[in-house]
Amino acid sequence: MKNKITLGKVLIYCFFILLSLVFIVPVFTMVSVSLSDEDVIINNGYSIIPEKISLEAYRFVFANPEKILTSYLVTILSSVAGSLLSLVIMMMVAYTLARKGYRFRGILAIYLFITMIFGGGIVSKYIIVTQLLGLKDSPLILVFNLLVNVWFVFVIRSFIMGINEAIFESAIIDGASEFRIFWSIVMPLSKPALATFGLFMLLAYWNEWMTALLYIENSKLYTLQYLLQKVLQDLEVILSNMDKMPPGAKDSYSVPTETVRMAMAVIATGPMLFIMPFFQKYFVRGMQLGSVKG
Amino acid sequence: MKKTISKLLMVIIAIVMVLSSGVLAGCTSNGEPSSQTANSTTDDGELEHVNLTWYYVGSEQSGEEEVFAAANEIIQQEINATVEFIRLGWGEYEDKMQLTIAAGEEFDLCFSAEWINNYKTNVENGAFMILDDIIPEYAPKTYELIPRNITDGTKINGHLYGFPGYQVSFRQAALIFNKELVDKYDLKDEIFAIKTLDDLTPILETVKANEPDYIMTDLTMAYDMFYPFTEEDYLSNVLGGDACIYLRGDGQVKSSLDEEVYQLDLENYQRAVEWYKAGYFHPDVGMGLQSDFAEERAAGKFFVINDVNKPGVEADMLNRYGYEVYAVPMGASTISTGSITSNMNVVSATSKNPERAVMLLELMNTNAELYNIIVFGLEGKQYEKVGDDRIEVIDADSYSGMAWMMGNQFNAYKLPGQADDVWEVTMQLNEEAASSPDLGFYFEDDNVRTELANVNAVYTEYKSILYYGLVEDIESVLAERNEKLEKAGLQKVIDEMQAQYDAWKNN
Repeated sequence: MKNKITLGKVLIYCFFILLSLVFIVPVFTMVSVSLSDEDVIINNGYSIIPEKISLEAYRFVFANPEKILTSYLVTILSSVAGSLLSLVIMMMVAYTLARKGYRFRGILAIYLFITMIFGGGIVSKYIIVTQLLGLKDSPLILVFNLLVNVWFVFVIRSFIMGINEAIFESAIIDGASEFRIFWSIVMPLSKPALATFGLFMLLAYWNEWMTALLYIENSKLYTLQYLLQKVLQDLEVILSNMDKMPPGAKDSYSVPTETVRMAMAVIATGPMLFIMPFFQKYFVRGMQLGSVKG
Repeated sequence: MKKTISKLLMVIIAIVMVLSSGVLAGCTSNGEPSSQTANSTTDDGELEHVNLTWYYVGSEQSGEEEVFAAANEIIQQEINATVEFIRLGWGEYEDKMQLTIAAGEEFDLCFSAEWINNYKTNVENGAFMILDDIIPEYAPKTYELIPRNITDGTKINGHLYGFPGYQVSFRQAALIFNKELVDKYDLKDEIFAIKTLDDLTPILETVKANEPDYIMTDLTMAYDMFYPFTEEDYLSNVLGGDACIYLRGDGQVKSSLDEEVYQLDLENYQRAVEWYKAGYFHPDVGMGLQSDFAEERAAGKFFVINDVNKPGVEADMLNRYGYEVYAVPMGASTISTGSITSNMNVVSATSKNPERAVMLLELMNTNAELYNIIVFGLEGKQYEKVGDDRIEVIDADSYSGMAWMMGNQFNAYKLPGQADDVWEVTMQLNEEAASSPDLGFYFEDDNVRTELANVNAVYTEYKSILYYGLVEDIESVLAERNEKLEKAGLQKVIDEMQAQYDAWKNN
């Protein structure tokens, strides 16, 4: 095949170059602002290439690294523990749903489906979590809150249904228990699904801040994203209530500068940028999941 | 199969409904002290030890555990209680308190205000305990200390729910000028002669011509802040913020539809056009962004900014931003419902020990040592005493509390730059300030909630273009806006408010 330059090709390339710029420029700006001198930002606004490089913002953030490091640790632990646990649980549910021999398959599916359509509302959930389960201010809630995504369960189910039923039958003949079949056959065969949804869940846990907003009061248990979110939320509340706040209230809040905010964003998103490429190959295969039923 | 499924569904729905109604029932409590909150003293008059929780809003401070431990020593001694101070961040306070209250969680005290964890709404929902009998008995000194018009102003339906933080109780706008520039061009006499914003225009012109690097002003043309009102024509912004409904000194509800307010609107927005053309505003306002330009303020990029007036505001600005300013008070100083309920500490309806909670409030207001620990931290660690009631902060990054929030600011130590008589002057100004016609009036928006939301939406839509003069033909834009406001039901809101106000006034 010869590479001919056609108008169509040029247009397609241009389109994708523009599209990728739309994604790259903001990230680049974020990094560059975080590396800029504060005065330059105030005077000239944002720029893609920093006019005057300064590491002041990072120095400020890491001057008291305790806060950011503990929240880093909380995020890493809850993301890893959460996504592993949620994978196992979602796989188990999906597997039971996929086995045709299971009697309450329909009921289970409907039970799950209802939770997709109706939510219990924040207050009732809050009451159950804090008063019945006693998970307020507990690190466990950071893990449990996102445990099952029903939509993912259904997609994984159709993936497992693609595995030939005959494998299960032969395993039963060989004397394997149901759990053995699940652990030694279904799990290894579902690697692409595990990788894809593992990444999804990891991202979901990494970016989660609502849980901390609702259930965490101890600032040592704040997740990284919540720490960032809080900076913006605090700012918003202060700004929108300027005229109603008592005199002196504004003094008690010091606004983190633009560069510091960007530096925090860089620190929070950085690790995910590095993890993404490793999942790339599974990702493409994972995209086909559930698209064709076996 | 299908039948069993639909049966099962029915059962599930039934269970959900039963559960949720139970939950809802659990949320409603009537705010009356329940019978089990009997006095927790033992027979011989000694106080039993109790634990109290106090929710407040603020940023995290390093070393706060130590400070609260020191505070608890005093509290323990005085009223035999241990207080758990739970700090929630500015951005999360609203959500977390709403959940905590809706879930009926047990706590004793919390911060509530007009602008966060809304005082009136919570009272209506029965979240706070009525303290009519408890306050005079368990906090007599504080009850005497705070002027009666202020405590009465916090009453809703005639009931007391807590104490406002006793500090600057009046509201008055101030223009804050960059001292360096004023002195450079010898404008001191001119700025202190300013009566209306029109007087400011020639000053801006002079400075702008010589100092192109500075941004002239961050003022917006919300006229209720800068108009030199007298008591009769004072327009009180009852709903706060952006609403366009005002209560005039004589008890008439006015809005942008009235000729009087329309003229003010026209005058102000035309001045905005003039200023915008001359380039006095921040260059970003052209994008219609609402911002307070906090960074530019901190960096001293503005020639004149808008803030509230209070004694010692110059010292505060110097401490906060690091540059010197002149403060020019503008307009009338008034005490209104909004200004006193901007800062309340109330007792939760779920409190098991309301008496002790009120005693704690009494202690915070009367015990200067305790109050200063909460505000400034520990002597030798966070501050150094340099006089009887004068201190210097040692470590600016360490603990610093909020003087305005948890007690009586007139007990506070003075910081460098604050005049010796700052509290006396403040108290005097509190007394001199006029009571706004709406002091103690709380508008009930139940009947006009939709109309009010629509009116606010229309007002906000036009706000940024009008405030910053981004359109030339003010008259036609105003006519267009006012027509939309009328369609949105502004008149209905006004009628409702007038009726409620008259009923309240005659009561």
